[in-house]
Amino acid sequence: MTPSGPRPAPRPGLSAEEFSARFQAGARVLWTLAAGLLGDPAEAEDVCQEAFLAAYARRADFEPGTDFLAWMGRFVRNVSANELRKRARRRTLRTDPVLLDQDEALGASVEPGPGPQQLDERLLAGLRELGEVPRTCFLLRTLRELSHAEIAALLSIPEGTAMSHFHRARLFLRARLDPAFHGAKP
Amino acid sequence: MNEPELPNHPHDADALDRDALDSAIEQALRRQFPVPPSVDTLAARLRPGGGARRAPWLVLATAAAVAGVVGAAAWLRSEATPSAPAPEVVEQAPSEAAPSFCRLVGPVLEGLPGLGALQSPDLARLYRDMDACQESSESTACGADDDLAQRLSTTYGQSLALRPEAAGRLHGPFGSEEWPTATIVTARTDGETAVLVADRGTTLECCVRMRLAEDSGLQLFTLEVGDLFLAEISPHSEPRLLAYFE
Repeated sequence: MTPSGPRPAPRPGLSAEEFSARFQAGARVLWTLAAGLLGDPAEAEDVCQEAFLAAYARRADFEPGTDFLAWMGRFVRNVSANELRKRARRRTLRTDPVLLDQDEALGASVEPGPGPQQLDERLLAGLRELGEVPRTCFLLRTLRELSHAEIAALLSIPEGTAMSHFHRARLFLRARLDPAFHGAKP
Repeated sequence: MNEPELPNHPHDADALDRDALDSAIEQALRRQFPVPPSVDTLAARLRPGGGARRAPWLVLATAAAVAGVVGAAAWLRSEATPSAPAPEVVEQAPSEAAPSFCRLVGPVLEGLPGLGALQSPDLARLYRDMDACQESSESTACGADDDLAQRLSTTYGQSLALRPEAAGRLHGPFGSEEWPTATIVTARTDGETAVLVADRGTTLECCVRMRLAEDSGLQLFTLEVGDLFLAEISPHSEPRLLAYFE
């Protein structure tokens, strides 16, 4: 059998199998990226799912030889940004006094008190005070042990900026947690 | 390996103290941000084709609409009919002569959840769509010979019985892109439409997030029969359709 006519150009991008394998290999990093941007691990998986579906549909656009995680990071960042916008809208509508009371109770819970639980509460409060990008840099470096270059690629920021964000976040959290840390020590 | 030197200078002590604090911060971070085990199977669960596949009738209808060529449509039909693997749903694509929506079988997506199944169904929109379906002149109520309960049982693998008084009252089954893995039936009660949605409990748990606006004027009632999840969306203050299923 002889081929008739010119062969079609090979389709760029990733096959379904390649896409799934690469996504799974980086799933924990992408989850951490979402958790950092949202400041909340509870919704990070949902964001990853949405990002997966969006990226899967566009997998033909992926340029072979480029950084897959950096490419996926764009989808995770976009879905996270949508989620944060939704949250902002929800916040403006929140008028239920019961919920407002809960907010006040949350604020009160970070006041000094003994034990490692207070350390965790201080940490969460500190992370909330950090901006999205510094918080994400800190999480990716500390939890996933990514290099500053890898973090920079995921967030589309210069490497020096990623490094600076990480160090500033660490200094900030040290200052916030130091009293609780010494209070918790025997 | 060298033993760490004991601090003999205040600065060394500070450094050790900082390291201990950094370590405590890292541990607290790991406690507060544990990666859920389900993240490690995300790709396998979400990849289209790994679980659900498009219902054959939907594939045919979409392909025919896009192609718009009689020859292409005929080719697609001939491709799909003899060589396609046996679908889980017994019902085949509705013929053009199907007398009513009763013969149009949901769900849009068969089998386990996949692409599209993760969209959060807006129940108010679903209700409006299904209300329109019921009001369509093509819709007639299912009779006892339509074997609705048997169809649901076959689709979702959960035996289900339908009380005799339901015959002639329920319209459908319908499928909806709003909730692709669901099978939907409707009925008119006290002058209002009530919509009943059926899906696997496991699908609901992993991949469906229902949304119903507070100001929609609709109520949501649910019932679980084994692994089958039934949700009734209704303007009434109590469920009317759930009682038909047992």
